[in-house]
Amino acid sequence: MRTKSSGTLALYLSLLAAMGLSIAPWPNTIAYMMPNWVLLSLMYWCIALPHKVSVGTCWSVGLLVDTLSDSLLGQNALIYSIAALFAHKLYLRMRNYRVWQQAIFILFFLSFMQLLSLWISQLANANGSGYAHWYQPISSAVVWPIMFLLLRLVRRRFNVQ
Amino acid sequence: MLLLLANQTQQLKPLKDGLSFLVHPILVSINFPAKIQHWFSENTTDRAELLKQNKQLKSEALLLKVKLQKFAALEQENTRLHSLLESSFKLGEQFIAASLIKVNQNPNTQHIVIDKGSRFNLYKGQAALNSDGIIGQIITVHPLTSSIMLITDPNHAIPVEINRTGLRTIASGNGTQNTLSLPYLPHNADIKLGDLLITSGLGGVFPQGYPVATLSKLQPMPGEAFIHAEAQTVAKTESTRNILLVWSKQHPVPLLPIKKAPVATPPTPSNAD
Repeated sequence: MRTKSSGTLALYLSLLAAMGLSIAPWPNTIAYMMPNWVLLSLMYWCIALPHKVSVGTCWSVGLLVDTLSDSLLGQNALIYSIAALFAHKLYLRMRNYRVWQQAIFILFFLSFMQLLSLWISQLANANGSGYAHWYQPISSAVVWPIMFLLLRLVRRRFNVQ
Repeated sequence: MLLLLANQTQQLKPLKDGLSFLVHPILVSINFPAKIQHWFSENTTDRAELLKQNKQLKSEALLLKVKLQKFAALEQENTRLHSLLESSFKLGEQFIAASLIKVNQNPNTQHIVIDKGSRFNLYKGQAALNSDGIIGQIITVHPLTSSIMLITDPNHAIPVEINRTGLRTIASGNGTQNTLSLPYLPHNADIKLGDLLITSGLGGVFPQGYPVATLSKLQPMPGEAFIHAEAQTVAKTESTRNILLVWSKQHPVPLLPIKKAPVATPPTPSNAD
């Protein structure tokens, strides 16, 4: 039986790894296709352990991601908080869904979040927009089942609760 | 709205700096494989190749030194002529070398991260160049890192002049790698393919006289006021590893007295406290 602290550590390490993945030096064409690792893992933890990962946690992680990705301070924090809020409202329902059903939910949810993110960055500076922005929700939905199984493995292995 | 306001003011700078300390380990760990690869390729180069490289570098250094001898005389002459014209003139700038942290922060922007920050007195708006020419300017400074907006970023524009004729214009990035577009050239402008664009020094961000790009495409657009011109940047940004940052202020900022700072040329050591 592992201790509770090692489980917490595993949780935060998974979030750190997701943050690292999100700034991995892929060429831009691949970087567009990269799923939103941090948001996916946050969603998983919010659904699996809503008492442990609160809106506040997501907000702080969002601030860190903002600093990492050099975006507006608070942009990702806001988005992650909203995501956490919805995940907390819906976690009981989400747990009953199959993984692919969850993936479809993730697709729509992340599309909405991406739209919000685009609005914010459009207000800040006029970036060129295109279809490339919408690859991310799709790839996130595709990756969700793998992410789900992987993080569930982590949760069970390290007995995160 | 609060987000946007916070971006405009400097109130949150300490918070940002603190957060940047927190996330620095992540940056370093992501850069680690690239560093390992660099180290590996450095350590496994065979002797013959190193010798060859050494020879090549020596001959290059010789050539550059010979050129420099002439530059001293030219500099003298130039300052003399300028004093005859009674116009102020400044030669010589202060540089610091920094190396790239290989991360891709955001695929929508063309920003790169370097491993020097406000600890080395870098400032927002400082010009960054590599051995070939201008690559961009600093847009955010954290204590340990800073990020550079490349000149090819769609949100970036650089004042340039054509070296051959002295015609001044503005080159803006268009998001394509190593390509700039020149949107404000009239049809009757004296330009031709292969013209070198250098920084004009207007605007005060970029120091004058550094190469930026060469003109690569000229396409007259009938019915439009300006010609459609594109230029290829001289500095190839995707292969850049070492970056020089230049202090172009009238009075160079003294460098921090950090012992292991790999300072390229501190021309005013008396300034350092």
